[in-house]
Amino acid sequence: MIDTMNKTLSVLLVDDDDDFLLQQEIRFRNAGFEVRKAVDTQQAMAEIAKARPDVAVVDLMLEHVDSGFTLCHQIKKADPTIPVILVSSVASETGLEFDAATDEERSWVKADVMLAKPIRFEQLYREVERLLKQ
Amino acid sequence: MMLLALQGHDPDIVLLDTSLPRYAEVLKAALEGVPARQTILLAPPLPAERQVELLRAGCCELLGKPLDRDELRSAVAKASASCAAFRQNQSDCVQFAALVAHELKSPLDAVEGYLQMLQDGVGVDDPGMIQGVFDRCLRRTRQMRRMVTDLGEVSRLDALGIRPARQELDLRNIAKTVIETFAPSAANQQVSIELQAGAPALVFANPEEMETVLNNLVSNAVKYNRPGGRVEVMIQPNSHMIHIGVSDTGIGMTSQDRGRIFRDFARIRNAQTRKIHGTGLGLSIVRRIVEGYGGTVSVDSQPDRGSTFMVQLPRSAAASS
Repeated sequence: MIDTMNKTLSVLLVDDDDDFLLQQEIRFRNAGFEVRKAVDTQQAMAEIAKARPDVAVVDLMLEHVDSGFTLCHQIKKADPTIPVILVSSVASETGLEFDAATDEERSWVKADVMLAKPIRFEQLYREVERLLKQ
Repeated sequence: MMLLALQGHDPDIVLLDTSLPRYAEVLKAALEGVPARQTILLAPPLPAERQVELLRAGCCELLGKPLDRDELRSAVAKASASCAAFRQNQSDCVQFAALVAHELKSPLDAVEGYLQMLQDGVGVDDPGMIQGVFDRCLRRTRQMRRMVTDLGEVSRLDALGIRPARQELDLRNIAKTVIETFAPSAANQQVSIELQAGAPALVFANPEEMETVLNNLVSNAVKYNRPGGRVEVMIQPNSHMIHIGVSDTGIGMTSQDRGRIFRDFARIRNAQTRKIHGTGLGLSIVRRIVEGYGGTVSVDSQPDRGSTFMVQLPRSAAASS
């Protein structure tokens, strides 16, 4: 459990797959998080404008196959302190070896962590814990 | 020496003279090499059986000696086109497999995620949630089932030489059946379906294939429509062709999307289509079937106004004569 000092942490989940959203929502709520959801870039930025989430989990493939990259940039531009985890299962379509990205590739992707789908919640949660401690 | 040249350079086209010593050995190596390779034999007149044997073994052409320059030129041009077509087909297959893998991955991830949740005991004390999880899992497995069914259809249509039995049939009857099938789901979405058909529309075709064509077009016209919208199915014969038009008053598409809509897995991704599920193969199946009968398929569409899909099929010979 993350030591929250009595503050409820919030996570923003951004994906156009309803099942991924629902599964992560149940899991994060179970872990004591406040969960907010968005299905595209516009909704995600509207949520961020309302209130700063403690962490954002963004899928690469939203309205376009690479919308997640743009969204990461926009989030970091709005608030560079929001940790962003970028997830994807489209390595074969973008040609980007997602889980084996080099340091150089990582440096231009404005995400703190990149994970390949399918994701085990424990793995995602571990990354969230690590980012929130930083 | 010849064998070394073959192995060292992996040529796309091999011209082999049968009067050379050890030519049989070189021929064997040429035919077993690069799959895209085209082998042309230069030979004195051979008995017909021997010619058939060589062509069966994989030679693409036999040229009689003495060589005719134009004949040689056209044989090489043909071989080089075959080689390019083979390579293109190979790369299409690789891309198709990658797309299939990706399309099956997301429903599989979803089902696996729910099962993992249950295994971890998350939400198991909430009967309402468990019911919801089962519903979601079933929805995604049905989606995979539809995908597998459509893939089977694509591979059947792509397999050369396998054509289902044809008979003379009236497309008006098929359209009526299809419209009846979709009436309940259309009513659910407050969409009305209308058939406009006059004269008999006879084609010589397989009834299931014709049903698949109309099913896919009408299904899309309902799915991508809006509440209070209309679907019009128009069937009209002229002297040689039957025209089928399926129009909707739905979300429509851009000219860019129109250009790729009949390709495999060409689903349009935007906020309006997010909740609409499909395999991305429906229209490519329609195209394959229609082209198999020497017909054509096209689309006219405007964003937010609607789309009209047009199919032209040759009229049954008995009817048009």
